[in-house]
Amino acid sequence: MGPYGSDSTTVSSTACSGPEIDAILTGTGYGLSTSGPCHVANPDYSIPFNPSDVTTWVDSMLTDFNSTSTGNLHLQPIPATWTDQICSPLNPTDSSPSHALIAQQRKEEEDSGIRLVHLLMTCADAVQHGSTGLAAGMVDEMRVLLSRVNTLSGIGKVAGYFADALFRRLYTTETPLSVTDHEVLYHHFYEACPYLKFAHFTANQAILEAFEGYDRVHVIDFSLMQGLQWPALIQALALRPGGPPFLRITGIGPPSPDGRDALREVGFKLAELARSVRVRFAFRGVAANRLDDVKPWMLQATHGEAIAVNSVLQLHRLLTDPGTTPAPVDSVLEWIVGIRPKVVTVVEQEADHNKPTFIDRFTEALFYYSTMFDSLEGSRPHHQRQMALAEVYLQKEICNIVCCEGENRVERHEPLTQWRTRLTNAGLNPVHLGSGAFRQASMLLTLFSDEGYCVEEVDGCLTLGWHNRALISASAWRVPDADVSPDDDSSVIASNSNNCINSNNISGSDDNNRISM
Amino acid sequence: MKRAVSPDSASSKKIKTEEPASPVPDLTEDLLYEVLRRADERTLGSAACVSSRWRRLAQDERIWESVCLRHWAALGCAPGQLRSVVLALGGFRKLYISYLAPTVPSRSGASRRRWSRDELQMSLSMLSVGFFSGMMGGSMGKLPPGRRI
Repeated sequence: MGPYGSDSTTVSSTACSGPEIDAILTGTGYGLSTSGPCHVANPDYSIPFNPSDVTTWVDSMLTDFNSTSTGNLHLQPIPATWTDQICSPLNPTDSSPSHALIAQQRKEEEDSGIRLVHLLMTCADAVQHGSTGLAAGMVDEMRVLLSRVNTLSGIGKVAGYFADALFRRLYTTETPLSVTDHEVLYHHFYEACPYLKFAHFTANQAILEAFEGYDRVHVIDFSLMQGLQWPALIQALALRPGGPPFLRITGIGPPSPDGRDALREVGFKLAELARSVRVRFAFRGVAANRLDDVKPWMLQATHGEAIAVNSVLQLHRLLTDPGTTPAPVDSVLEWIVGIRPKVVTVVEQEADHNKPTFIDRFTEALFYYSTMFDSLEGSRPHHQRQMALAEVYLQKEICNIVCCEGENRVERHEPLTQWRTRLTNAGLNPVHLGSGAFRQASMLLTLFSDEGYCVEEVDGCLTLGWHNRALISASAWRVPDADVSPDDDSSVIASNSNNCINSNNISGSDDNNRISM
Repeated sequence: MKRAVSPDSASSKKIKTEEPASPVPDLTEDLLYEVLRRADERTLGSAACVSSRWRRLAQDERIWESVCLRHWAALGCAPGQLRSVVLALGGFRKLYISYLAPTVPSRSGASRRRWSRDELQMSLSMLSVGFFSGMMGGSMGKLPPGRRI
């Protein structure tokens, strides 16, 4: 199994057709079957996708588990919380005598699943202690087990990803994903489940409320991607009673390979949309590989405009190993406070994947991504390719957490409580997300899936989770006395070739589209 | 001999001959439009299946605009403002069918339901994202709808 970096795949920016998607997937080690999900050998054994069965299964799992002795497996005991987290769509509700054989097979699968989890923990422990030989042996053992377990859903699937990640940690070096591939995966993840939509709509609601009464507004997006968050904001501003303000968006993103200017293309599309709904609009792209390469002068914050800073799943990339100070995030938070925004919207994964010890991170990630994969299966079961790519998106995160260290490990998720402390220490005050945001989030869930997802309000922040486990959190912050006018920065923007930063301006107006560089 | 025609048979004969032979009267476009304008969503759906002429009328944006406005709370903006934005982003019919109707779980609830401001804003957001995705086309890595593995 080679490294899964996609340098050799050329994913065109203009079309991402079937063969190219396949190329991404093959590059990551996945070959897709042409016949849809395959079933376990027994033809009577079907894999239902009805998530309402999961809670029944979990209950029966817990009663079964408590009565089964695990002592004879001679392995570490399963952490007590694990049994609460195992969610598999294997359906136990049918208990008629003619299905005794199926029940037994299922029991064996469950036992294999439990054994897999044991092996994963033990292997991770071995990796942490540097016993690579022992770890390698366990990886082989896991592969054998995986061949006997249904890896298309439930615990088998998640265990498969984690075993794969351990394998990569031991044998291969990580190559980061190309920008285009990441965007494709992000888009499929956006479509397959409500997490990113929740992030965008909740942040937009907070931004809308902060922009009330201002005639000139400026949004700074820490990760533009394909700009999916902004059409909704443009539309909402277009419908604002009293008319839309003049909207500026500054989109930050990595420089695109092969001379393409992805930021500019997205900016064009946004300008076109703004023009069709008659919102005065200007766009600016700032290309930077890392957020801490961005300096406030590049954003051209001007006097009298209301600024919103939007960070969706970006701040955790600026963290370092706990205990090492200063972290890049602190300098970024400092300049955020310095430009005196009206609102800072922060969306982060609700997980603790930045713990100092490997085994702790591994365990946390195992719980988190099990729930995450379970929710993916629970929502729309069709669109298999979309689901597959959404899973690859998550698989990349898993690999980064398990395989990478130091600067390469960017998926340093921290829970909301820690972010609260960090942001408060930086000088930001929390803003209560109103009930409007909560109701919109609830409505989003009814539109896209109706079982299992839950929105909760925690101290003015919103979290979206699956079966009472919060997976993503959204919060809003402001600078105290933000009505003080920002410093007027009239320095000329010069292009700094050192950090591959370039910026371009796209303005749209009712009459014509002017593009100025 | 004159046959006595009883009033009953006369009236029943009368009723029989007055029964319409063809169920669909040949209305002019204006009249048809006025009728459809007052119809509910399900009727509009059925009407669109009758003929291409009926389909064209049943899918008229003005009709669907009144369908939407019938059911929702005020957004606070001027109607002209709302109209120009929704038409630019795909239209009222698309808004209703793709984003408002799916929120109603039961069949019978649709015609009586009133959407709240938040639900409307959510639907409008989804409409704008859908429109934008369509604009981006292939560069978003989106697969054509019929594609399977």
